[in-house]
Amino acid sequence: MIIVQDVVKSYGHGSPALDHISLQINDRDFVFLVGTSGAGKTTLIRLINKDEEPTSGSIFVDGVNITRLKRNEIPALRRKIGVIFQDFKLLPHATVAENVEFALRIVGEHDHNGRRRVEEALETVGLSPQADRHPYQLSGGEQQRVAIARCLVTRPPIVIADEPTGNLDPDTGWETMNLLVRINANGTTVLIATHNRELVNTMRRRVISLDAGRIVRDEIGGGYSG
Amino acid sequence: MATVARLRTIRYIIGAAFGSMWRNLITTIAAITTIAIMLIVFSTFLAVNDTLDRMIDALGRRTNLVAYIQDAAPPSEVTALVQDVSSRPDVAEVVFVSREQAAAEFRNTLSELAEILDVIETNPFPASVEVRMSDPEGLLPLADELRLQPALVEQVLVRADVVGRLLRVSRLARLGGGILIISLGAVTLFVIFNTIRLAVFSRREEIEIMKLIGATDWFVRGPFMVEGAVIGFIGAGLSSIAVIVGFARVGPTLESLVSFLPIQTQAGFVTNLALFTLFVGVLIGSVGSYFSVRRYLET
Repeated sequence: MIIVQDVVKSYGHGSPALDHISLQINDRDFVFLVGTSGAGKTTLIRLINKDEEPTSGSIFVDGVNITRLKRNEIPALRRKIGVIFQDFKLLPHATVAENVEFALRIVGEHDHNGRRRVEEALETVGLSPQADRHPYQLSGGEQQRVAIARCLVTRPPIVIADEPTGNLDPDTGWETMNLLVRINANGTTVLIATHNRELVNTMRRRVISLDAGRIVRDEIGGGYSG
Repeated sequence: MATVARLRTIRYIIGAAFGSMWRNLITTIAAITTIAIMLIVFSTFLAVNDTLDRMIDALGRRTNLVAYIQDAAPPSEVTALVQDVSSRPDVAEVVFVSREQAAAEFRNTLSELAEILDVIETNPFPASVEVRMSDPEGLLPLADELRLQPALVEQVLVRADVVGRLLRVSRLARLGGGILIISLGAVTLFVIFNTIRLAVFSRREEIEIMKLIGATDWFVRGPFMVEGAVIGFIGAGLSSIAVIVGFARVGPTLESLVSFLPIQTQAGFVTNLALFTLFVGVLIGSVGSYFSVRRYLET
């Protein structure tokens, strides 16, 4: 469960990137975070992953106030949250399998089952044949799926995706979205930041709309602004 | 289970370190070369400085004046002479060498000529009084005084020329050497640190990714530190080999070239220097990596 309480994020001058935001995302939820560029979607995700600190307010993940975490407690938080970044953030020198394997190593779960878990994750995203390729040999959609496999392999209870379809053509975007729906069906909480209107409108899930750092709408089965 | 996981992580860290050295081979070679060159310069300087020090020391410890005693001189007067010279404020040490001691010394130091003594049968060496000055300024006046007692003193030998100058030079050399060692050491550290920093800088994105997907600081830092230590070790090893080989080659040539000076290129010193260099290499490599990575971990 993610609880955001009266969070303000300000970068100094001008209007704040996030302006007194409060929201709650329950376990197993599938939530879209929508809004134009600059509405504050990415900022909110970065705050939840503790990549940045809120100016004020609190954020709870699994009952832990993450704004109070010490530096050495951050890795444990990030292992609970699998983030799929818009720019994928794959290790360029590692193969597809190694990139996925790496996430397992980080959480210290790369045991004798490691290989099998990596293979399973790659199978889930349909990349088994590309296991020994390097990221630069893959298309954008394939790189995206590597990032998803890396996120899945550690079985985090929460998956957050920042513009997962931003760099993809519509078909590939759909595939990615279907993958995330399947992940959610397995019990994982999924939060997706996107400005892909068509996708959001078709999925009929919970939609939180941000505008200029404020929540302007939060409804289940909603569409992209209206 | 936790231990197994930890061992696995350690194995990963070492593997990752060597993997990245191999992947970034050019950077690796550049870093090793830089470290080796800097340490060669530094240790050559240390070795030269040590040799000079030793030379000056040996010269300073050498007898500055030798008065050869007449064979016929009565022992009581000789004792009085030794006491008289010892009591002078500018004299550091007086050693009386009897005729027997002089012969024994000869046998020791020039053993290949020792047979001569057996042939001669009588002891050809005079007794002597060896004087070491605390202040070389008083050397010549003392020699003159001793020469005024021909009944007692057969001959006076003085090494005033070399000694006086060297003692003055030695103070300057030690001060200058100290300053140079510190500044050269600082430059060496600076260059090596910067080399490592540059290597880490080129991989800051990698560090960021690891951090974002939940790697602990040590997990990110570990491979870099192992890599730094290995690079430092190899660089320092190359430097040590160069210095040891260099000294083995140059040392004897130098000694024979200036055989009149007590130069001692000591193998012991060079070995210690090599060990010290290796230690420094590993330390700078790992600590340098630690600090270079820390910068990107904390952003």
